[in-house]
Amino acid sequence: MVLSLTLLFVLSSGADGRVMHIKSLFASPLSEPRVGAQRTINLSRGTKVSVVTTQDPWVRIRFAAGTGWVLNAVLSDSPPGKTSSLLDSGADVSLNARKRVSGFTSAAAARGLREGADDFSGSKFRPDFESVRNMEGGYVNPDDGYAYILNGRTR
Amino acid sequence: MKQHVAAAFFVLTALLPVAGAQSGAPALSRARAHQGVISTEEDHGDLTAEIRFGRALAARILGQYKLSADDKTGGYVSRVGAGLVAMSGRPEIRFHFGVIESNEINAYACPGGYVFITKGALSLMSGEAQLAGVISHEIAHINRKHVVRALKIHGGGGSFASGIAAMIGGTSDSSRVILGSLMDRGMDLLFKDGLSIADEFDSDADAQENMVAAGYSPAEYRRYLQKISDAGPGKTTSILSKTHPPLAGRIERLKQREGRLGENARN
Repeated sequence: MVLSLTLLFVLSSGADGRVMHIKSLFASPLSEPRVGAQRTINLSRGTKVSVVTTQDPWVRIRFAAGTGWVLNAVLSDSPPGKTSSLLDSGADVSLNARKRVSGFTSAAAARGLREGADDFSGSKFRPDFESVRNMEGGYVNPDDGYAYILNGRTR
Repeated sequence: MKQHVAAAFFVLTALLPVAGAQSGAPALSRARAHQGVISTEEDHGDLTAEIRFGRALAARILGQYKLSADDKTGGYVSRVGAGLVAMSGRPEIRFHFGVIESNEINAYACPGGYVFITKGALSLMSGEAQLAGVISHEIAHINRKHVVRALKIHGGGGSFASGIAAMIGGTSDSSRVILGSLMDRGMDLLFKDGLSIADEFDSDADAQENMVAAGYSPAEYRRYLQKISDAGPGKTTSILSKTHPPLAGRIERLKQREGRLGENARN
């Protein structure tokens, strides 16, 4: 009897049971494990879900309002971490590239990091950090990037 | 003292031949692929080491190839890349995207979020979904820390922050040699030796998932690889063919996985 109840519980709650988190900006679990299936609900980044079963590359998850299928790619074992970057510490990345570069330089200097110093100067390859800074100056926030590709559907 | 700090900065069990990573590395578990957690001081040290190394590696790439001055194309690639990061990038790092002046058909991922795509690769693409496929493949390399693992880069324990401060602005000769050698191995990994075949297959599979999550048809990625294959071997694919598994095998695997993603994924 106890065994049957245990088995029933395991089957109804899902045999896997691992707790995972939504890693993507959001996830829309599908009613079936296939592209094009009906979307159920939008779950935001960091939402805790439990794994019911897997069918690579799909994972059936349980969340507060029910169950649905998402791809492996949108799940993480642990809550999304805080963004860490050498561009941290208040560098203003919302203005033009030139200003962003100087913002980074100031922020790095404030933390005692001398911009341009190269820990790997023993390498036989010549570095170009100025171009790296230019590249960093063009940083696009992932949320803005996602809005852009969504708009692109109608471009 | 600085030498000790330097030794703690990067734990160099890494001075083993890169070729070992090419042939014998076991396939990573796909289920464990998507880590995004900075939970301990040591993890944070590892992340800092990863970003510092990746940024310096990116600087070496840009020392070899000019960053494109075409801001319009660069901005477009950055926006599409950022959109893909929103769906499956590691939330703890900032991703940066750059177009480089090279006719080679290739793309490169440096640890810490630095992604490059060549003008040659862009010129062969016939739509945004194909670009999304290639960028997603590179994001996957960074998500799975393939270069970090191949080179065994990680922080040196509790005194990491002071280690960084001591390293900047003047390293000892011995640490300079060790770190320089590590950098050279990173460049060899990207341009000569390549990652393991399993790493490349895993990144292809992740790319398909990322494309679906962002609303692109994953079949476009396969079609792009097919285009490269159809063009045949040549000067513009010499690095790609040296550093990646044969295209025929990759295309076949992608096709099989499209079936598992669902029939619509083939469209």
